[in-house]
Amino acid sequence: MVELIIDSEGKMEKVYKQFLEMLDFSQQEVSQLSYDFECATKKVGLQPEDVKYAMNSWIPQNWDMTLKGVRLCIGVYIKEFIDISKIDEYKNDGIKVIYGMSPSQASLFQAIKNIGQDKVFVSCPDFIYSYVLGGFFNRIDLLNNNDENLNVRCRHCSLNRVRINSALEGIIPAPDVIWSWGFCCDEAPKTEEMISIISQNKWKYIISRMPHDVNVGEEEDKNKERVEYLAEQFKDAHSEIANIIGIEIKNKDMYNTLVESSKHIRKLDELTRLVSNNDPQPMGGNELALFGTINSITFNTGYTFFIKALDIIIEEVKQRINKKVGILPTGSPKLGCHFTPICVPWIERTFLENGVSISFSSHISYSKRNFQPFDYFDPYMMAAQIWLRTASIVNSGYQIELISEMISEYDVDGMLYGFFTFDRWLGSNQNMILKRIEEETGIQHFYIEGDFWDDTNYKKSDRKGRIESISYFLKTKKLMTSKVYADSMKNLGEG
Amino acid sequence: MEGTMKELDKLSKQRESDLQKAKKDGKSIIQYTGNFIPEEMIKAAGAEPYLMCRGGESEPIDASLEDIHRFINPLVSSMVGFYELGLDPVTPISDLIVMQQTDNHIARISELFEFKKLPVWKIGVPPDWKKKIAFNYYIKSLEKFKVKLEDMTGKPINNEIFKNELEKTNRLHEALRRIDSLRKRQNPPIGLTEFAKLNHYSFMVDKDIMIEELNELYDKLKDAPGKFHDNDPRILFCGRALAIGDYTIPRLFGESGGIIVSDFMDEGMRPYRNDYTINGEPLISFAKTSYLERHPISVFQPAWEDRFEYMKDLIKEYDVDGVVWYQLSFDEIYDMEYTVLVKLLGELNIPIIKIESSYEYSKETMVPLNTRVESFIELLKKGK
Repeated sequence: MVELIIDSEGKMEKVYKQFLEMLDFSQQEVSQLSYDFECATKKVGLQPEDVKYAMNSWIPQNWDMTLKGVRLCIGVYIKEFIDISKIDEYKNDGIKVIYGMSPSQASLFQAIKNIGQDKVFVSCPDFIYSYVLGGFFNRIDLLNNNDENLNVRCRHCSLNRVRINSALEGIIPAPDVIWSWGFCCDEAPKTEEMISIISQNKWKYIISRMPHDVNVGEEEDKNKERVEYLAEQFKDAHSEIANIIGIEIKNKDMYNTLVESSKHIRKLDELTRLVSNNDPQPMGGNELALFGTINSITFNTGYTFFIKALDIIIEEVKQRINKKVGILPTGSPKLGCHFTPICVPWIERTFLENGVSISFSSHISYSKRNFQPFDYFDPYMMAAQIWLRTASIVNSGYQIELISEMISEYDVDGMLYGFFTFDRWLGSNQNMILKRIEEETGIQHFYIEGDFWDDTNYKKSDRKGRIESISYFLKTKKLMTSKVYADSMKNLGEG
Repeated sequence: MEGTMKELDKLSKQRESDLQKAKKDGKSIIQYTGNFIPEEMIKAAGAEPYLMCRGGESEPIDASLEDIHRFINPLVSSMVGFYELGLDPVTPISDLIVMQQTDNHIARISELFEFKKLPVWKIGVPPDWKKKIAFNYYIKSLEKFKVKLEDMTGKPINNEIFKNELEKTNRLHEALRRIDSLRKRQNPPIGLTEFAKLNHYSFMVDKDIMIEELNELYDKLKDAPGKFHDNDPRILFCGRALAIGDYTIPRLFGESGGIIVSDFMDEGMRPYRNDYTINGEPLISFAKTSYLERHPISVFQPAWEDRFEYMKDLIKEYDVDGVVWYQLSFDEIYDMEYTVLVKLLGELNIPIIKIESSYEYSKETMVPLNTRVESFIELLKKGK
């Protein structure tokens, strides 16, 4: 337990340093960043008690802090969290501020950062706030409790709610521009319009959209017309951004960023396969999903820390595999997950308590198809092809094919769905696809209605009951198909 | 008016049996889902168009839940629900179901139809309507549909007929506008329920007959006394859709002492205030008017400020006292627009009420609904 030092003004200043130390920040970083960290936490309404609780209870309970790679990766999010709190200062210094959003493809935003360097700030503040507050502090409510702007009965996306609330309360300052992707849901880009009107046009945005009008089952990345249209949307947006911030992105810049991004993907894929295809499973699904962000959002603080964390975790996982160390005993059932709910980390913990682990998350994992060569040399066309091979993005028929491929490549006993019910694109088809993937793969599929970002819409005890019954089913099934069970049944028969 | 409505109702109900007959005679039956799909081009191809836009019943929504989750709006859930329950006589005989891909709700239901092996054809309608590439995308999508129709019927679409059909639609719009203009009176002779039904009949009944009936109805109504009480509060009714069969909420307002004098809906009603600007290629004329010249639908972007300006015009023109925002459950974009409207209308001191519907009109839901509607009417009366 951390002893809190209370100064004459009643502040518990040491807790911020101790928090950073817990995440393996160097002493130099601790001295440089602890005050900034304190300010960042206060900006979103976190009290010293919340930081203490996160450090002593929530994080150790829900995250495998024995792994250095995990500690460093959480540190990457915290660094970005601190950086985001300084946007006003950056703006005052004349730095151009660009926001991205999720889901999107990091490389398209990273290209801007790579060119602009210190003259531009590129990040995804609502996403970072949601991950940090939900995943590490259990306090997403701080930015998600105002239902005035998005009626709770209508089942809106909490990420959008966090963006609206934070923007209107000034916690997230207005950017020079936010590039909002409407290639999945309608709600995200319309969120910008809403903020813009309510803030009297202070919230500048550009949107990119493409209708969901291909046939079910069509391989969208092979549809040249579609790839071209998407590439055109990307180029248009880059050109609009260039007009706003005065930084032009050339084809070679985009190409270099894609090369950089492909290296990240290879590393992430290696980690996913190590975690998912070894028994005992060496690391949990939450920890794995923590690294998945590397390819979906841009960190203004850069990827250096992220890559370091990723390299270390790959080594640590390999060591665990060699030593046969796992998060559960050998032979325990594994679930793949369609969007591992890492902002609600107790979901995986409850599965683990019930003897079941979560392995790969289909949103951030890859099948062999994702590594096929591109059909084009134009980097925007390449980026479009990458996007149109992403399982959670494409039409339901192609999605079934892509997820089925993943299931065939990863070793799982079941698949878990249901954490994106608020999303009319990413979530609304899950009932529709899961029985078809089940037929295709023969792997049992389960559905828990939930919320990736925030669990307050659901009764914890109900969710726990559902997890227990799924776990019981999986364990029984696993037992019945095991050799030990078959032998004992045989012996019974002989007896 | 009652006689005309009965006659049109009868003709409208005949449509389904007429389609069965047309099918037997070798005609193609083409269902379509909204105003971004040119029924006029379907007619010009020699096929029979039929609008898929039924709502107002809760059972079809329950029937859709096996495949699609509950957070999809009830209008699109009904599309699959009616079919699942065997209450949709047209879908099983349709040669093509043309679905405009305007938002996620309709996109996912279209996929479900495809999984059910129904002949779906999608028209891409990009929401970023101010971009040139988006408009070109829409045109390309319509052109592909044109080729599909020509393949189905085995003959090229006659542009003259297509143009004539657009002109006929303009005449139909004009007839509807004349009747609509009667709603500007202090005590109008027609309310929204009847006006919505006239719109709905116009999708089913032969256009020439419909135009004639509407013009005759106008002649009957122009000197008729008002059907409401003088000085009852005047209401603008807005939202996504007033589907065929979904008349409960407009009726409720009428029964509670309000007069719905104007409407602004994205679906279910004809865009009767805007005629097609016809010059040159009819497909392009249709596309321009539907996509660029009309007020953007809610999911288009940008849209809400433009729509609000339009609402302000309607409020002024129809001397409106308050606005009803008729929202389909879980229709997230309309829910966001409502928040924006509350702010913008609030600045003008115009009262607004949101009525959310899941097409569940049981006694338990109606009692609190009645109370809300009555309180709103009372509020408007006090403000007059």
